[in-house]
Parts: sequence; structure tokens; C-alpha cells
Amino acid sequence: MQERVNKPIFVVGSPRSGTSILTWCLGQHPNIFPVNESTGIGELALALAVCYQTKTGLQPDSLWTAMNVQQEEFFAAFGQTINEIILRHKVDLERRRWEEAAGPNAAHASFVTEQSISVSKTRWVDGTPLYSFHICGLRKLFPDARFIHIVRDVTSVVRSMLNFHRLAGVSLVGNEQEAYDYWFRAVSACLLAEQAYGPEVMFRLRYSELVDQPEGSLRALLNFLGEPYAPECLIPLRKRINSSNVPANFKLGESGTDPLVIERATRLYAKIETAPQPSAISTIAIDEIEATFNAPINQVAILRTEYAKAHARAQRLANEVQRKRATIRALQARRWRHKLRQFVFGQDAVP
Amino acid sequence: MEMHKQLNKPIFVVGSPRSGTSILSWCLGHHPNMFPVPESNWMGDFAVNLGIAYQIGSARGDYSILSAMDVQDDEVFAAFGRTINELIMRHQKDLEKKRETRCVELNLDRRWLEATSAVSGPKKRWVDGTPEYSLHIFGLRKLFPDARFVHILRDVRAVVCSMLNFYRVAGTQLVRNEEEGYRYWLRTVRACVKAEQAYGPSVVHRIRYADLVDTPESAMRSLLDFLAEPYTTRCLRPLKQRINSSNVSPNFNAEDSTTNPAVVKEATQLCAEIEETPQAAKASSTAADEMEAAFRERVKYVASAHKAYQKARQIIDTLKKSDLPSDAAIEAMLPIANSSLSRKP
Repeated sequence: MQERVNKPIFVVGSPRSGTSILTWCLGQHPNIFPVNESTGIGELALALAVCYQTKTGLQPDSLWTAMNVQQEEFFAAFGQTINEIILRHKVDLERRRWEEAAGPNAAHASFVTEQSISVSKTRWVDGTPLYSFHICGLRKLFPDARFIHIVRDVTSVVRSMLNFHRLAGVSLVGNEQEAYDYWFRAVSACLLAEQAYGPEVMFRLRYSELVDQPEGSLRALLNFLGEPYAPECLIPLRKRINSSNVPANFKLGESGTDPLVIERATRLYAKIETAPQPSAISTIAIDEIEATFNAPINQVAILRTEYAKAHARAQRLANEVQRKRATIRALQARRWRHKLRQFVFGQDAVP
Repeated sequence: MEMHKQLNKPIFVVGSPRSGTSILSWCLGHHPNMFPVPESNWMGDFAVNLGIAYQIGSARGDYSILSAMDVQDDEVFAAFGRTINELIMRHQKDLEKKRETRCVELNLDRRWLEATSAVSGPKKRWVDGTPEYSLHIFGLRKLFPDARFVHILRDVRAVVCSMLNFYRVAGTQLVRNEEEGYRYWLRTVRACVKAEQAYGPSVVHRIRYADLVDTPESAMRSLLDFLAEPYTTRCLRPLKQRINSSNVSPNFNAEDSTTNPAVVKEATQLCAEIEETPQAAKASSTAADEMEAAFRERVKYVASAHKAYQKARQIIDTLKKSDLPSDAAIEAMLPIANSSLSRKP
């Protein structure tokens, strides 16, 4: 089988931390092309894991056990498939972008030709913030993938999240507390991955550095990716950064926000500010991230039986209610018959 | 693309369980170009899950990768099908090794091992005999657009008998009672007949179990013809050794008073009907659309299963919180209530 380069790059972190702009920056590189947020791949890894585990765990003669297909090979094979689909279609993607951009922006139009992308670019970069929660699964699918954790101060992120609807028309979070919580969960997941996979696989980038020293931070980043420095990568940074347009008079401090949620997030951010990315791999973190990956698999695997059980139990309880009502009705009727008999035949008729 | 040259034309033997799916898979596995794989029962769900992932991946229109890249779902499914095929082909040797060392444990006939291994030919296609796949033909065809399906049909009464006796061989129950057996047969056979109509005789081939037993050679000839493989007598070998592994005792009585006669009638009628009418000669796009709709429905259903599960839990919680006494209390109370009710006043 022909071996293709299969080293995708995932930009992860909390939403509104610069994941999109950084994806676009990297996408200007002569060897990297940007795909928009792909989203589905995380779920796919989970679906594959469910299929792999449920059918191998049970019987010794099930397909993958019998065929001695190990989990690593299984996942990597499907990762390869995804990589091939994306590489095969990059021309379509670029053509569409080219067509969209050709009118108003001539510079953009001349930036690539179909020929140049289809021949030269061998890696893709994806900026789905949701993948912060799927790093373990993505690494199974793409063992040579690299991850960039872009981290931005929590207050700016929360402000940006709360104003996101102005730009996108849909809300990212319902309220301030949800925003703090989202940031905390996404960043915690990325920090765990940093510990589990080390600086060879994960690269932490401060949003503020990207803004203040764009060249220096992109040089370090491309070095991490094993790609030569390309000044084109700075182009998107010149045009815009931070697309949520937070009004100048916008203030945080919604009533009803749990102060503990805010404190938890700000404390984590302070910790990130002072401590650098860990330089060694922690096996405890590996175990933890694996366990986190496996938890929903087991859940999905048992979902069906659990659902059936829960349904049966609900049914049974509903039946009990009916039976009990019937019993009560019958007892009431008996009491009335009893009273009626007393009334007709007098006290003596009843023993 | 050169990497996709590998032949990807698996064969799925479908039909109701206890209709001869296993023996027919082994027969085909004796062919120099085919090898049998263990029942996988995996790919149907996988296709559904892939459908869900694709939906998520294309939900946001041009913002999402799949739509922006003009990746059609057929292409995604076929690409994943190819990957499954490649994994299976790559590990054919491992499967043989495992069968060799564990054939007693797996209840395999040692005489069949050589015939089904690569020694007897450069086997390029695999045969899967999972009966449950009767219900997943649409999804399997998405994964493997060139797959062929063999629908083996056996008389419903014989099937139900065999189902009820199955635990004697396997130690596990296939169905709990006669009615379930009839229903199982109906469900799987209906699905297969629908697939016959939807895809036509070039994709689905119906074979009668009776023909396989009575006129094995001609049945096998037409089957191999359908699969575009040359005829070989080797494929008949397993038939001589044994057929029908459930050992129905001759005096087994299939009548069960609790069985709903309407279900039995429905099944026997359908069985007679299929026996009389030959397989549809042409593919019907209406039937194909129906199958596609059913698949989409299934994708939606599984995607929402989690929500349904949460809801069921909620119902339980509210029922628990209502003023109902505990289960144990109800159990203890009921006989008292019942006896006091039945006592004549």
C-alpha cells in the first residue's frame, strides 16, 4: 500500500481562544492546508472504539480477535482512510475557497493554484475547539498527529464567548457561568493531554504571545511541527484577530454566577501563567486520559441494555401503580358493599 | 488510485438464523477464491455509527469539513469499507493460525481447515454468515458497494424447531419461545425479500435450503455463477459431512399453546408465498428507497437513543419519588390484597 504523509495538526483549546485564526495562519504554509472545523472525527473515533471493543470483548472467536487485529492497527487504519479522503478532496476545498475569494480579494486568489496545492501540501490543520475533549481518540486514529494548545486568558475568552452571537447568530454559551465552565473544562482536558503526551506531541502557545510576538511564536511553532519557517503564515494576523467584536462598554459580572466556578477558572489560568508546559511525560496522566476515553465507550456499549432495563423497570413501576389503584378501587367497592349489606340486613348479617 | 486495486467483493450469507447460513458460508469458504470469516455482527452497527459521524461532520454546511470538501457520504462509507476489507485481507493468515490452534475450542471441523485456508488457493474474497446482517443489508452495501448477498431460505417450521433446540448445541438460547422464533424468522426473511426486490438478482441471490440438501450440485452451480466464480465440487464437501447442527429430535413437538396463532399463520403464509413465487427479476427503486429511508431512520434513532435513555431514567426517578411503596413492600402487600379481594364477602 502506498504510504502517504499522515501527520495532521490539530489546534485545540477553549473556543474563542484564537483556534480559527491560528488554523488559518498555519494554512498559509506551503506544506499545510487548512480544513474547516471537522467535528465528526472525534465521534467517529468513539464509534470505532465501541465497535472494536464490544465485539471483541465478548467472544474469543469474534472477528478482530480471531484475526489478531490489534487496537492500534485498527484505529490507525481508519485514520489513514480519513487522511486519504481529506487529501483527495483538498482540491475541491481549495477550489471552493478560491472561487469565493476570487472576486473581492485578488491577492487571495493568486495565493494558490490548484496545481500547487494538490502537488505540494501534504499535511492538514484542523481547528475544532471541541477536539480538546477528543485528543486521546484522535491520537489513536492519527498516531503521528501534532496538537497545538492555544491558551488565552479566561476573562477575555468569557467576554468573547458571551458576544459570539453578534458574529455568528448563534450563542456559544447560555450565560457567564457556562462560559467560565466551558473554558475550564476545555483547558483542563488540554493540560491533561500535555502531561500525557509531552512536548513532542503537544505544544502550548499563549494567545498573547501570538499577538505580541507573532514571528517569534510562529517560528517556535513551525519548529515544533518540523516545518521550515514561512513568513506567509503571518498574513492572517495582520488582517484581523478576535472576531467576536466585544463592545467597549461590555462588562462581566452577571448575577447568579457561582463565584466558585469563576475562582476555579481564574486560579487555573494563574497557574498556567506561572508554570511552563511540563517537559516530561506522566504515566499517571496517560492512564487518566485513557480512562476518560474509555468511559463513554463502555457507557455507549451498555447503553442499549441499560436502556432496555430502564425501560422495563419504568414499565413495571407503571404497572404497579395501576395494580395498586385497582386494588384500592376494589377495596373501596368492597367497603361500600359491606356498608350496603349492613344497611339492608342490619348489624347481624355481618360476622 | 493504485492502493485501491485490492479486490473488495465480500459475500454475505443472510437469512433467518438456523436456515443454513453457517454451513453455506463454510461451503463457499471451500472455494479457492473465498475464505470464511467468523460471524462479525459488527458492521451493521458500524455503518449506522458512521452515518451519525457523517451527519455531525456535515451538519454545519460549508463550515464543516465534509460538506466544504464535497465529500459525499457514499464515498466515506466506501472508503471505510475498503479499510475493513484491507484489515481482513491483511490478517487472513492470523485467522488460519488461530483456527489451527483452537479448532477444538471453537468447535470447528479439522478437515475443513486446509480447504478454507490460503493453501487451497489465493483466496481474494471473504464470506460472512452472520444472520443478523439480514437487517443491515443497506448499510453493508454502503460500506461494500460490490458486495454480494446470498439469501438462504428455509421452511419456517423447520427453522423454529431448530431455534428452540439450539441451546442443546450452543448452550445459549436463541429465542425464548415458539412465538419469538416465528417473529424472528418473519423479521429477517422480510428484510431479505425486501433487499431482493430493492437490488435485484445481480446483487441478492435466493437459495432454498431444501435445494441445497436435495440437489446440492445444481444449487451450488447457480450460486457460484451468481458470484462469478468457477464451479468446484469442493464447495459441496461440508454438505456431505453434516448439515443442520441443531439436532431436532424427531418427536419434538413444536406446538406451544401460548403462541399467538396469528403470528404462526402470518409466517407460514409468507413462507408458502415465497416458496411459490420466484425471486423478483428486476430491481425496484421503490423498494430501494424504502430501505434507504429505514437506514436513515435507524441513524436518527441511534443518535437519539442516548436522550431516550436519559428520559427512561427520569421516568424511573419520578416514579420512585412518587408516594409509591418500595418494590419489596408491593410484593409483600399484593398477596394480602389479592386474598382479601378473592374472599367472598
